[in-house]
Amino acid sequence: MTTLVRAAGLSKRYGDVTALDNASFEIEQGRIVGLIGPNGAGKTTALKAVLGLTPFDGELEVLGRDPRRERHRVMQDVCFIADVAVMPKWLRVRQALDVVDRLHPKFDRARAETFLSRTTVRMDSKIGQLSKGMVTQLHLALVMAIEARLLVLDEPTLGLDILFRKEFYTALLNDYFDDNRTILVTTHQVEEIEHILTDVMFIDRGRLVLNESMEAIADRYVEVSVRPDSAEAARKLGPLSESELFGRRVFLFENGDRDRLRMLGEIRTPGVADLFVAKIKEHAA
Amino acid sequence: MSTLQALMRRELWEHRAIVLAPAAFGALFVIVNLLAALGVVKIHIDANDVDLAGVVSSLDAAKAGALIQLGLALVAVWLNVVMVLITTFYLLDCLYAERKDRSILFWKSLPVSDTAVVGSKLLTAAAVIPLVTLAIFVAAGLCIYLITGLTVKFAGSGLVLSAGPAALVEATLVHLYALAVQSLWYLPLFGWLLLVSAWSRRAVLLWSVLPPIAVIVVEQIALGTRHFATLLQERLIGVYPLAFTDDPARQELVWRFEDEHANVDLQFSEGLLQLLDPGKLLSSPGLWGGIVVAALFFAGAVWMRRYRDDS
Repeated sequence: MTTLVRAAGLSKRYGDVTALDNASFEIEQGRIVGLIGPNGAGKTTALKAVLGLTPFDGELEVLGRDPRRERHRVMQDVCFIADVAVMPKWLRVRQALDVVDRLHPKFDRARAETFLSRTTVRMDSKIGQLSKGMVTQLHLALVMAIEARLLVLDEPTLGLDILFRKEFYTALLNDYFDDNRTILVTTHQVEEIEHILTDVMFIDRGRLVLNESMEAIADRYVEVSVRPDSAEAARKLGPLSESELFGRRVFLFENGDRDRLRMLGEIRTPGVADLFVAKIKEHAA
Repeated sequence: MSTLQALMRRELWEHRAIVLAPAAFGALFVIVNLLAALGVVKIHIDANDVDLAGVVSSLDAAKAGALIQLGLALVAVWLNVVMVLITTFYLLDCLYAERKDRSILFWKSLPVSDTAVVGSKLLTAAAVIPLVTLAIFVAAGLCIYLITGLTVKFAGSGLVLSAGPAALVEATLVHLYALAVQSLWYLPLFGWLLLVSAWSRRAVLLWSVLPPIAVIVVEQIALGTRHFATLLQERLIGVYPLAFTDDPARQELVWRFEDEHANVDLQFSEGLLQLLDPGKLLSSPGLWGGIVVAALFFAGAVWMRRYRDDS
């Protein structure tokens, strides 16, 4: 297994605010990693560090290079779509294809044109005249036509309607992702992408509070919904969190004894969002 | 196509004023020339008291060439004024606008070094904009030559038509030389504007002029001298005395004054190229000192683009 990103003791301060606090992680090839955290938790800072867009302390290797000093080399194998439409408004669609074609050695123009022909984006339009969804389609078409090893997405579907959001991830999975590709994605809408993630990292106030594969999460965490009269028994087992849903108490356990929990109620693997809330609360406590 | 070429083409796509503004000025001159020519034709038809044929018959080949070149000199000077303004605003905008609208994140997602990007912007200012201006100068010059030549032909002399091409080529060569030495001389100013553009969070124009003014004021108060002001003045307007000859004998070859009808009659005789003096410019410490300063500002702008993070 090839390790694409290796971060050790990543730290970054903006004045008094700690954006990244000694974060260490690795990203393996062929994974789809979700970086999840509240606003201001340091997600974007972590991505910017990986992309060589911001100075930081600590060690970081992306595809064997230091992105601080060799951003332009790293970017031959790394693609990036930022949280809002950052494509220049004055550029025409045809010019955007031209410029990426001439500046990126791994860009396949015909492939990008094929992707675009499935959309309503016209070659002669200025990007400033396109809707936000169309700009995202254009950016995705450009990125999917680049033979890159790591794709970094920072809230790529923010502000898009549900149809575009669905389409975005479907295209990514069907036409882009394979064993040689790796995706690192941040999003607020965890529910929308949790079924495609292979790994999740939770980040809170600059610290990594969870870094697991989805399989490990399924092994380690269990959610049990119990009738109110068994709630006290469940509480005694030391749950990570407790909430109420349709008159039943829902408890989340880390390394819980499944056989005992099964006697209290119905057990299942928790959703990433619920696990996230529980872990952040635990971290805050 | 090389990376730099692609990057410079992108600059022309974004900053269309680089072509449009000088083109509009060139077209304006051609239109004025055309109106003047129509006036001459009208005089020829209507006025019996103006001896147009007599004026035309006093032309010789040198005067005919000079007539074209005087017209072209006016066009060259005005195109240069437009060009300096465009270059200033282009440089102030080129690293600032991409940060303001965050499109820098798109450009930085491409595998192009910051040195290449900032370099393409400096090259656009120092080479692409002057070459665009020169091309417009040549196009406008051709139109003016044809309009003037045909008008004078209509008035009875083919001398302008025959002397024009050589005069135009000569004027173009002198203009090319002037643009080249001006670009070299202005490199530190270009570097300074790039640095301000890469650094400033807002009000780039203000930030480009305030620090030099502050230095001048502080120097005046603290030392009572005006060295920096003199230096700046030299940088802004000092290139032409350096790049063109100050030898009266050589100037004499080009300009001959004739006191005819109590008017000073300016003629070009031995050729404008006699005026060029690249040796004096190339041996001046001001040129090389300026290039060193430009390199420092350039490095600063590259460093800013690489490490400044305000997106």
